[in-house]
Amino acid sequence: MTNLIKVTLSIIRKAINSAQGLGVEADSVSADQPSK
Amino acid sequence: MFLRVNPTPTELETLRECGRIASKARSWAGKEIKPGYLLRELQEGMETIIREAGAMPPFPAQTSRNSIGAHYCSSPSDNTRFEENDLVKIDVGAHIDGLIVDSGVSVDLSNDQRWSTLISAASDALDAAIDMCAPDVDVEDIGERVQQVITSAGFNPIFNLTGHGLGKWTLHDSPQIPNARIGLKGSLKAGSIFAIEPFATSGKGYVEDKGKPEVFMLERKPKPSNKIDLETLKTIQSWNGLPIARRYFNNLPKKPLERTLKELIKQGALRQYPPLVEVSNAQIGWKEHSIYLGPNGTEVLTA
Repeated sequence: MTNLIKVTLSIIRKAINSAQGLGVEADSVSADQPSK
Repeated sequence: MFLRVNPTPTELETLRECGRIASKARSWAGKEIKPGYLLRELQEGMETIIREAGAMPPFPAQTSRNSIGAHYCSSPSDNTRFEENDLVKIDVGAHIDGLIVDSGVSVDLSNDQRWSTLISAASDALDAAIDMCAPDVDVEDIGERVQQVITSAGFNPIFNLTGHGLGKWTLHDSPQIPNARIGLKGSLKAGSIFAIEPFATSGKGYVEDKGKPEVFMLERKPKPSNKIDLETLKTIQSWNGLPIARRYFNNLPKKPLERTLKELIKQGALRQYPPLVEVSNAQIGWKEHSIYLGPNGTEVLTA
């Protein structure tokens, strides 16, 4: 059962296009929590 | 709080047993499914196999069709049937004493195998991701590889869906394992259990909540309220915070159940999981396995 990251498509596109990415700590943020 | 598993030998055997049970349920569904079959019956059939084998569902079995990527779970009275040309995602897991595995497969119900390339893209991406698994591998490197395989097949990954760690009594533990390089931070830990699940789509690669939720998860203890039926709450709490379905509670009186669900949602104690639909209504292929990163290498628990 998959996990949904609650960010907009435009933010994801910006993240993909930038070196910095979303800046989300995958090890420190609960996968079920909004990621921004 | 994360309850990351670094399993003891006994726990590892339990996880392997869960993997065998989930695979058995998934294989049964893959053979049984055909146009005309009720979605609800296929979901409940998988859950029966899991229970009869001595495990429990760590989340309700789900069957998501076409542009629904995940989280379609039947209501107690759902009479929806599979149709010819459906592309179906079968999602099923098993747990024993909170030790969880999660797995899934896509099934093409067309006569001309029209979804085969989409399904293969997701499957090939999963194989490539599994080949990369090792201690300290960056989750973003896995995401990049998944994206490469899927885009080279002519599709997009779903950017806002991820794989996830599997903790004890925690279905969605860290780390999140993306399907593209999107800027998540984290790495695979030696001894950990996690699920990788690439989604491939002919659309934009983004899903949104759409439709009535039938899957819920109790996230925190609710405040006392006369709108909460204590017998219903006790039953919900017996699932220890794992996702549940409305159809699990057919034996409970309907009005108190609905009133309790509504109040728990209002309080923010109960999380809802509506179906996830691709924004351009495009088809989605997918595959998922649970993996143990052990001292002897990568072990696919749900093969």
